[in-house]
Formats: sequence, structure tokens, C-alpha cells
Amino acid sequence: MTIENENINGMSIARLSGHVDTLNAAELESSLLSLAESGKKQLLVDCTSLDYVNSAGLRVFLLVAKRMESLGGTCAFCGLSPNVKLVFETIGFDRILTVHDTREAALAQMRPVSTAA
Amino acid sequence: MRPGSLSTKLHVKLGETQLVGRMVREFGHWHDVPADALFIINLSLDEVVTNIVTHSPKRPPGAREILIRLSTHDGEVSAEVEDDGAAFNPLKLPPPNIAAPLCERSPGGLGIHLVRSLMDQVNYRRIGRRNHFTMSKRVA
Repeated sequence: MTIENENINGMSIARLSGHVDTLNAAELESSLLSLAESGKKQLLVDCTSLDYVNSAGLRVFLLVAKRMESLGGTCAFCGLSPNVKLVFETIGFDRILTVHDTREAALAQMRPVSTAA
Repeated sequence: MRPGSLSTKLHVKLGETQLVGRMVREFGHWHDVPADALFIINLSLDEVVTNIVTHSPKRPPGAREILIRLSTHDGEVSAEVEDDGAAFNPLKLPPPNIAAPLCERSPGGLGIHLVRSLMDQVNYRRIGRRNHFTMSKRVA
């Protein structure tokens, strides 16, 4: 797993790639929580290059989305591969988390909020 | 798919889940298992093995070994996971409330819910002093 961070228009973006599993979920949790607590109101988790995620990674996604919500911000996910999308749908994350098909769609949706802020 | 089977013994360590991934990929390659089915089998085996490694030490006697076996037959892929720890049926864990809103969602129980939902059949049996978890997925 690699995590690359970007800042665009005051929004934090975490680009994940490779495999997220029980062995590296703690590293993911610490990276995403520090982004969530960095003061930015919007966090986008870009999963375009994420090949695999198990329940340990999904638990981190849930924790981070809850933390952003409790801090008055928003958290969204984008670019899910068919496999990752299947997993999201199976545990109902597609209903409780904000998911965009592509990074471009996510940026288009999220930008107006950040420029207004 | 080419019929056949592959089995191995794992240590009761979290790092072994990476070997499970490699084994599933190799098995899929040799037996022409479609990629979407292979992903589900890899994830399910990962979840079941992770469950044993993380929970077995809390319930003496802890498991000392885990055996896994993959097989293909009649358009179906089967996976068996056997361990010598105390009796534990993961299928008795309460399912997560996947209809709850974000603020009420609890992060527990997601792994076994994925296994139960994504595989076509799951079964647990205690045979002698060993736990046997079996699952299968039909392949189109």
C-alpha cells in the first residue's frame, strides 16, 4: 500500500494504491486520521489505484468518515474498482458514505463548497 | 476451470495472510479461475484466517496451526480452513447493522459478513478438536 497526499483548493486528497489489509490498516488509520484532523473541511480518499481492501481497511474508512462528520467536515471516496465497489456495496457503505465514480466527478462536486468557504 | 486442489499449512501469525493472497493467485492462475471469483475467494480466506489469528489466542487453547485447502470441481471453487484452537463458530457472530446511518455504524463484524454475503455457501463444523470452516463459490 502507498498513500500519497495532495492539497487542491483547500481540500485534502489521499491517493491510495495497492493492497489495504490487516497488516497495514494501522498505518492507513494514522495517515487518514491526521488528514481528517488537519483542519481542512473536505477529505477525498482516491481509490483509483486501490486493488484490494479487507474488513480492516473498511473499518478505517468508517472511522475516518465518522471523524470528519464529527468535526463538521465531509469525507468522500472516488474511483472504486469493480472489486472494491462490490465490497462497499456488500457492507452498505455505498449508502452511508459519499462515493463518486471518478476523481474528476468528485472534484467537480466538492469544489464549489471549498471555494465558497 | 481446470479441476484440482492445493493445500498448505500456515503459522498462526498475521503475516501469513500475505501468503494466503499469493497462494490464491497461484491457484487461480493454474486452474483458470476467473479474476472476479478469485478476488472473492482471496478476501474470504483472508477474513477467516485473520479471524483465527486475532481471536484464537484469546480463547485457550489457542490454535497452533491453520490448514487451508483450495479446490475446483464442477464449476465451483471451494476453500476449507481448519485450525486446532478452541471451538469457535464465526457464523454465530451477530451480523452488523448495515442499514444504520453513519454515526451509528459500528466497525465490528464486517469481515465475516463479507464472507457470508459474497460466498455462495459457508459452513462451520467442530470435528474432534478442530474447527472446520468451509465455503464455496459458483463460477459462471
